[in-house]
Amino acid sequence: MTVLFLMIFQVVIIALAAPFFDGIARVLRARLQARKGPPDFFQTYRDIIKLYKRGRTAPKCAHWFFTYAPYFLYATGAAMLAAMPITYAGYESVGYSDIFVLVYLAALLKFVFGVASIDSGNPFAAVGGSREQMIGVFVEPVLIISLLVVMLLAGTSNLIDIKNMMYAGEIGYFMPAFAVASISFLWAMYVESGRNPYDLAEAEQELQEGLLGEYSGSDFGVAQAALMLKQFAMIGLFITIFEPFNLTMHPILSLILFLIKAGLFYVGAVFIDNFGARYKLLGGFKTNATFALGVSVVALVLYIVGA
Amino acid sequence: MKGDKFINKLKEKITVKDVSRMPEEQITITVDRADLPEAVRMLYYDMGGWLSTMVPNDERAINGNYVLYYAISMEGGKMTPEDELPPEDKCWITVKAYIPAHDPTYPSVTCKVPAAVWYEREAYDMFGLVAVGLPDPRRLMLSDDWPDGLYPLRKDAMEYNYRPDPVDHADEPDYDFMHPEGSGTLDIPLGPLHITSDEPGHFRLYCDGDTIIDADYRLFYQHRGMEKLAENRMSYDQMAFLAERVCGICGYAHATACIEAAERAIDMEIPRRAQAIRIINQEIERLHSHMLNIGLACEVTGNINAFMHIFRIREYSMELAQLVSGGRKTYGNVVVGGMRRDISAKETKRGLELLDIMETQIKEVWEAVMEDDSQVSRWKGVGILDRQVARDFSAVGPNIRGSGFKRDTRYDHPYDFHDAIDFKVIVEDGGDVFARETVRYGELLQTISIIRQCFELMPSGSIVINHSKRIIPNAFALANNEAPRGENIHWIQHGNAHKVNRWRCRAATYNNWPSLRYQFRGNTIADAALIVCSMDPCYSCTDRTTLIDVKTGKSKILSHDELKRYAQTLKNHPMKNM
Repeated sequence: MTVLFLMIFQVVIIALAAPFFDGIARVLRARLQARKGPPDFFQTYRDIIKLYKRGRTAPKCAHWFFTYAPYFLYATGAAMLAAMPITYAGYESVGYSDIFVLVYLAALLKFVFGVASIDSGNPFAAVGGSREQMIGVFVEPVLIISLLVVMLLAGTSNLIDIKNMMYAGEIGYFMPAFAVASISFLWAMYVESGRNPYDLAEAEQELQEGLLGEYSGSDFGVAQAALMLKQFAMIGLFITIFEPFNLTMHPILSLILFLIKAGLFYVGAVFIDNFGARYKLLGGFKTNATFALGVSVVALVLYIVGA
Repeated sequence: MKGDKFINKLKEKITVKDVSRMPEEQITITVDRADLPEAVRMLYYDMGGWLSTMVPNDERAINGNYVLYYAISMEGGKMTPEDELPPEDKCWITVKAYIPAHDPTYPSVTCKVPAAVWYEREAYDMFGLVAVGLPDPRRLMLSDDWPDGLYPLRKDAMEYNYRPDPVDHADEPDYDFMHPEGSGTLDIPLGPLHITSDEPGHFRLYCDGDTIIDADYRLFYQHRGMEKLAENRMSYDQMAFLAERVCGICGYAHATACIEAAERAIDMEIPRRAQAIRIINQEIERLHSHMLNIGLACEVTGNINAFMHIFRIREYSMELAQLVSGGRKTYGNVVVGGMRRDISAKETKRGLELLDIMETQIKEVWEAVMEDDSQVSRWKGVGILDRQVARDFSAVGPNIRGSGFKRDTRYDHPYDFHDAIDFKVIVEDGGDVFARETVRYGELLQTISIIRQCFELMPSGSIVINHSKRIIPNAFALANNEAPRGENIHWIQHGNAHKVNRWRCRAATYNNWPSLRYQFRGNTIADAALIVCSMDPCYSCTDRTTLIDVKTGKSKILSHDELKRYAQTLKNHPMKNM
């Protein structure tokens, strides 16, 4: 019961705090781009509230799927966050907090996103949707192999157990396979969070607003918030598995610490996504993905040879 | 005399009825309409001409005929570096042909010179002159439900307050897009409301997977009727203001070209100081336009950071414009015979400071962009403009200079103060987006140097002549200038009572659009917007001509429906070789 309460608690807090970090990222980005930008860190809240107040429009050809997809996306993002043992790592083990649950939720989110964009009937959204799936083809092997190494090392796929083993020093960066897997996972995490140069969801010029092209008003606001949750979930996964510093098991304190760490990643990514052009899927993207796949395979080989 | 050798060569094959010169380097030859295609072809391909403009004109009140003027810029084919005429031979030859009013047809030149295709389609829309054998006789400018038999630029066309009855949505004819026939192609409509340009233009991309195999486009959604407006109502001083509003970016180039055409037609020489100030204003326009385009080419690929920094620098060029002309964008300082506004020594000093700031910062930003491999790789090899296509369609500006042609009207036909100025024509060989943007960067530096030279060599004296010359009715001339996007040509025929009889404004982009289709082929959808952007299209420039805009709102809605319908059905086409 306590665990269930803590799960809901952490999702609500992170969902409420996420736009704040987005606001910081936007201010920072504006400074880097020599423009004025939002007046404070709360602009994303105002945007979402404003969007939520607006009406919705949907293409005539769209089905129920298109209409409910933003809420579904949001729920999936929230479910991912709930599976993260941020506040309840010190309590009894729950089966829900599992790597496989997270991987499938991430795949579900991608699927819903893609289908909703194709359902919108907008050919650009359809192209964007199919590309988003292509990204999955490139990223998921890297993600799975990296996580596989971790699961093999820990002997379990339960995140709470993995986290506790990490804190107990049973697995960690002293294992080369673990260290190398963390590198390839970091890449996969960055791509999955949908930032430039791997960003397509918002490739507004090339794909004319891409996936979200037909969404507007409250639907759009919810979809935006869902994508933000997804980014925090991906960062959270990295922090849960690969972040070695155990300072506290106290639910509230660890949640605050998590927010600070995740926020640092979220805002720090501006230094990557702000510079340079987007990769083309079969150009720079493919090259990078191949390299990351190579790194993850190295981690697997290291595990097999027992290093 | 200049151009004689071309005319003699022409006379070997066809009868040249008449030769006239006004001004000296603009030669008009009259041929029979049956000889028209061959005459244009010989000048274009055999003697190294480029189609500058084609002017259909209604001269029934003067000589009882319609008249076609094909203005060809003789400068050499330029396919190789040697293939260029010496400066003393460069001139314009205008081929003139009379079309009798009772039989408004002529053999199509497009079959022999593809560059004429848009001009001949426009001639039908505006004057009802039918080019027999024209491969693509669809409407170009007027909306598809325009009433038959109504030709807006004919002198007796219509009452100004005449408004044809609106056609019901359901009855409005569809525009017939050119489909590549083949199975499994996917139609992707881009526009008419287009995020990259925020201007109306409808593109159809035919894709196989991600690759564009062909494209077609429909422009002219925004009809303004400028040419007709000027013809009957405006004095020359008003026309300069109207011409400046042809375009939202390079309007000044239109204003000067328009006024210089009027001046050349009566051989009016303006003071050197006024010439220098005109050049300064034009070059400032190039500064901000090129920075806009390089910035957009970054933004279209997602590099918002570079875009914002280039726009920060662009702000200095706007300040410079405000300093020397009083306006940030619309300068409004050209009049027949000179300028309305002089430049003071204080302004010159501050102007030179701004130029220094811009020069350093542009170099810095460009260096940073070039160091970014992801950006450069998005530009390289994309949207290649083939050299033969460029030659066939008379492309202009950075678009053609990126394909290795040394074609710049400031260099080929120097005007105003350019004879006193030293500058280099920037040419790149790649033909891709990267080459075009590199050309623009090189031109930015050249432009800064040109403005600096103008400030330093500024002749003293008056900036406007006293009007002693009278307008000569029916005298005509064309004027050229190198707008940021390429060569602008304005053609003016004077009328009575200090009003213009015919004003033909040909914006740079008009010559670049027809070849865009070939630039699309083989690229991916992700690059489509980038290719359009690198051409630096100017929708409003090409939208200037048509008369009444009662249809505008309506046809937009229709296209929107059309767009949705295509979005739903991913059509397969029957097999046919492409």
